[in-house]
Amino acid sequence: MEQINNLPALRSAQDIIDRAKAIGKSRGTKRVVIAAAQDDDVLQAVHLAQREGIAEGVLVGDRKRIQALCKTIDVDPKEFQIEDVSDETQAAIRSAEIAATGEACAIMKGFLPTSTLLKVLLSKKYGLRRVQTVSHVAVLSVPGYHKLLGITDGGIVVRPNFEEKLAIISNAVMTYRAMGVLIPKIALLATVDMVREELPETLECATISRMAEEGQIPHVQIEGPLSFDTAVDRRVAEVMRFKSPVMGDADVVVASSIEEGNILAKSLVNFAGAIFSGVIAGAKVPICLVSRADTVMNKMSSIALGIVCGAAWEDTDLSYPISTNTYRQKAWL
Amino acid sequence: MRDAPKDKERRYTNLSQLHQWTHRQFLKRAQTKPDRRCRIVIAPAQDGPFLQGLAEGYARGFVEPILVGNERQIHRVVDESGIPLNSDWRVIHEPESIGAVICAARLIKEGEADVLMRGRILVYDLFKVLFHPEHGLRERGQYWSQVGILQIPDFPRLLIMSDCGLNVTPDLHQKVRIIENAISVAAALGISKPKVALLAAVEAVYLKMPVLVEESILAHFSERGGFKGAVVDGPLSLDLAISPEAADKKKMTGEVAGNADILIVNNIYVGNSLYKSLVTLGRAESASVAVGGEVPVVLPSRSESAQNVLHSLALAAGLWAQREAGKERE
Repeated sequence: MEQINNLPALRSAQDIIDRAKAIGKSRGTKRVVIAAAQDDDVLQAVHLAQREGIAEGVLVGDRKRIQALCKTIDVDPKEFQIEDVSDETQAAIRSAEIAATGEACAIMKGFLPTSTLLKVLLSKKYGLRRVQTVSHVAVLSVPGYHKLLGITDGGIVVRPNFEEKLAIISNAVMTYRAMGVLIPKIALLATVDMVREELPETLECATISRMAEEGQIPHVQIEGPLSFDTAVDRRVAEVMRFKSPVMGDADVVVASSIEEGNILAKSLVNFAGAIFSGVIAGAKVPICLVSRADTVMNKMSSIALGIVCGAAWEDTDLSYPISTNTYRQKAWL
Repeated sequence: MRDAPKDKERRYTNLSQLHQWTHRQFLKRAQTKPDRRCRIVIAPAQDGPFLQGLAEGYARGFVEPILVGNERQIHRVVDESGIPLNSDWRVIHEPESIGAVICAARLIKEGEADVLMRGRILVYDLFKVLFHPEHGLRERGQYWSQVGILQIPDFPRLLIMSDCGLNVTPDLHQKVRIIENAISVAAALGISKPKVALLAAVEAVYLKMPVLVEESILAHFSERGGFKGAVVDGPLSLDLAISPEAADKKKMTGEVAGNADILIVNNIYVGNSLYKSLVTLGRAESASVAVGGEVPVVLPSRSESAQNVLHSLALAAGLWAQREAGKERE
């Protein structure tokens, strides 16, 4: 079987959906387990994904409410495989168990707080924990940008410290490798392109850049501090005095705080017509999320991204080194 | 659905209206004072796009440029980019960049220039000089902050943003000043009772996240009449602030949600990325100035297009003309 990592790099939201379908064709349709599936937006998304052949849903949740909700959105509940668990936490645990056995390759968040789901995933008991820090990776298909732009972390880690930032980077690398970008180009955002003591964030970015240069962070090209325009705009990158392959061609931009990541992604969605897909990475399986405001395309590409990551991680050694203590050059696939 | 803004409230839809506004301020000023151009001093002046913007402002008749900087480099930049450098522009040789800014600030103090423009220098170095007790242009009881105005394709009105380029991590007091400065720019433009959104990642208030707590305090401060002539609300996520549909879906109440005129960000990292995302991938046009000192400062970000530089010049010149016209009346 061909490794998913080695397939051509994905370049748009449509590519993500097509890749998920192709994986379904070659390996059998992949499954996503939905924790607390009693949510109309989630049910609709799963319905769409099943119809398009992106994924098959395993619904864990309150059966009666799921069936009632199916009626309101005009979907036949018989098309779903439902496991009746009414309690939120129990639903999260059951979903984790299903994913841990390999029956599903991704988890989708339903009608429960994200924190409840994350607690289960980060607990050693259920066998899905990979690293200490999970983070959100938004993958945006932006008209006017020549590739998929990743933004992290706009959803989970509020104000990442040094260690957490490294974990965020490694989670983004995992996600991008799954999408066929084997050496993602990562830009660490900090307003300016040089180290300035007035902007403390730049010091940390420079340190991480240096670590990557030394080979302490495998499989990436990292450059930072960079400002957003230097990271994504070739014309700006060209007139800079120093050159880097990341400048003007970034795959992922790493934000300094949850506000920056969140507002940046929303700005591109609201003002630049971007299509948004996102996963929470860091556990052994990805978590997909859809929200009320999502369009049909958003919902499908989010599930598809979960499937692509989930399927790729199945045949990947997940021991990507992320802690400063255990950093060492390591053969990682 | 939300109420549409009332007719009598002025709303700008694009930046060419900003240029018309500037023109009106010049006319008002000319009623009491001899009509003349706004003397804008740029330091250090050796920057192609910035000089191009100045040349365009000169051609349109509202700018009289004064160039302070490395004369040889200025001439090289001018030759390279084919800028029509007029012989009656004043050029002052000051090779060192900090020295150039000090010289420009002195010109303003001595009344030989009206407005300062950032040249090829980092914003922090520029403001180190402007904050300086001797050389600086600080006004008592005032506080410098950057204010940007953005025209975004397919968005129905201009958005004012602050602070995207000057204050790094403002504390609560500084944020109040930043908000007041943004409101004052909106007021100058004639936007009555602007709606100010304090941006965050979420709209719920988690006590563990200091940003959310601080923004709630400011919203409460506004509720009790802390900000005159504006409504301030937050925390709000970006989509809730600007999209009435998103605000309706999430059932957000309040005047600001979905209708924001002014977006206030939490720190420079957020603001700068937001601003640059709009200018690069959002294809937005922008005007950017710093206000809160003796004179407005034209503050385009480096690598800004000549068009955006021109917008910034118009905004700063308009603010200057308005202030001059106002002085006479007092």
